[in-house]
Amino acid sequence: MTAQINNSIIVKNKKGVVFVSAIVFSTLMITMAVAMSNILLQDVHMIKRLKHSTQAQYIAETGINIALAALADYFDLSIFPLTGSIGNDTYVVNAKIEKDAETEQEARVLLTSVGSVPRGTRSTKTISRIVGVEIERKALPSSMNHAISGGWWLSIVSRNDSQISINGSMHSNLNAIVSTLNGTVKVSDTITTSAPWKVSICASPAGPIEVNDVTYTTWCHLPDCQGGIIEFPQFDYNYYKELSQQASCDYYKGNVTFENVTLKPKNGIIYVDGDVIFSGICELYGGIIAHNITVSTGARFSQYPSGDINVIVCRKDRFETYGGFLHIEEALIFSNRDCSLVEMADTSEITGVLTTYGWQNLQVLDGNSITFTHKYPRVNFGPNVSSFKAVRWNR
Amino acid sequence: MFVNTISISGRINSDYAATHLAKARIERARTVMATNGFNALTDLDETDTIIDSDGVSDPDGVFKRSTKVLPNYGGNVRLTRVDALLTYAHRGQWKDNAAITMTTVFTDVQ
Repeated sequence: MTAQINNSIIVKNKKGVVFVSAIVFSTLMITMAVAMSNILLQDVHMIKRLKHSTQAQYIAETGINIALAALADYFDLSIFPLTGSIGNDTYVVNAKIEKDAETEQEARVLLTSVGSVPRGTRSTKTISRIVGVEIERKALPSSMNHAISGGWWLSIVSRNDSQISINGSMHSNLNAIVSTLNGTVKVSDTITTSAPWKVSICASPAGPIEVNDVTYTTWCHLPDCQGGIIEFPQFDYNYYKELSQQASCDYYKGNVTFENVTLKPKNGIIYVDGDVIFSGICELYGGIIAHNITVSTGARFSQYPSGDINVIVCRKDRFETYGGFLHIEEALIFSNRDCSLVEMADTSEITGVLTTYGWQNLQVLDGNSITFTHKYPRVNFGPNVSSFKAVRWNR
Repeated sequence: MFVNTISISGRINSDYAATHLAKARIERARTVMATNGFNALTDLDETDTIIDSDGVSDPDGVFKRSTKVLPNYGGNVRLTRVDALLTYAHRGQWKDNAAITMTTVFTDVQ
């Protein structure tokens, strides 16, 4: 009897074991399925995030590249913050600027672009990535560090109670001579030449020459006058030409004489495919480019800065005056060959940079005077003369 | 359920690989530009190239890649847009509606 009861319990217990086993097995299966689903879901999210994050990086780079292209065309940092989009992806580029203390130009600029991509078609949330690039302004051509410079010969002559004052330095890649005959020359900074050439000082007690706070009254070679070879500026002439042609009245196909005119070029530049003569009283606001530029005897030519193309450039040969008057407020004066300013009238003043590939001949006579003051003029050399380079990327 | 799980898992793997292949295509464009110049980017233009998971052209591959190169982006000659589109085959069917697209714009300004 007892044995029968025990058997019955065992049978009942066996049925329970199957039931419990089924429950446990089902629970395990469900748990595994939920766990696997979770893992899959996490994978889906991870891959979505990877996809959006990568695209956010590329849209951020897009912003930087568009900014670089814009700066290459025209280095104007007022375009920032720069925003844009491709489809639903957006970028915002900002610039942080460090200025050079001497030239007051932007020495280093840090561009930071934030690229954002929506997490989904219906989502308002975004995934963002940041890309940065440090850009460095290329150094200005070294000739621009001097008030007057030449690639060949530098000749400064002051005679008969005339005065030449140069507030800044001078340099020649070949030799230089500064002479007086009853006149004076004062150079506030150094005069240098490229080795092995020397600076000749032709002074006398009646015609002293002062260089860098030292006064010379006899003939001598200037001590410690040797410097390196300077580089000259390059210009994107097509850019200037196009600018002048956009304002049709600022482009001249051949030789032209300006007489008693005030020139205010619309895009800041007058472009002449020929020679220019200034006659009478002429004023220019901005820059001018021609084959040769002559300020005729008795003419008075004044230039005033306007915009960022303050250049007076002679592409072919020379910038010259014989008995003219110059008043230049801010310009880079460049001649592809020579510059000859002879018998300057009255009290001419030139502020900016005067540089030539060839000969610099400056003569003042008969009680007249000329003052040069070095100043870095505002000059945009054009898009094909790159003014910066990307030095460091942070992707 | 297990069959579905395996199927979804396969699609996740393909999605992951396609994302990397799209990224690799953009990086390839960067390398081409650095070595052969900015104008060489147009050499990358392609439509529906069948590739394997390593990005190598293979008629039996399960990935399909298109690269659209658009010079003069926004009318600027200094900009070129590159789009890399990747799709994959799942159970013998091309999943064109699940294409992975990576887009960027390159410039010749260094």
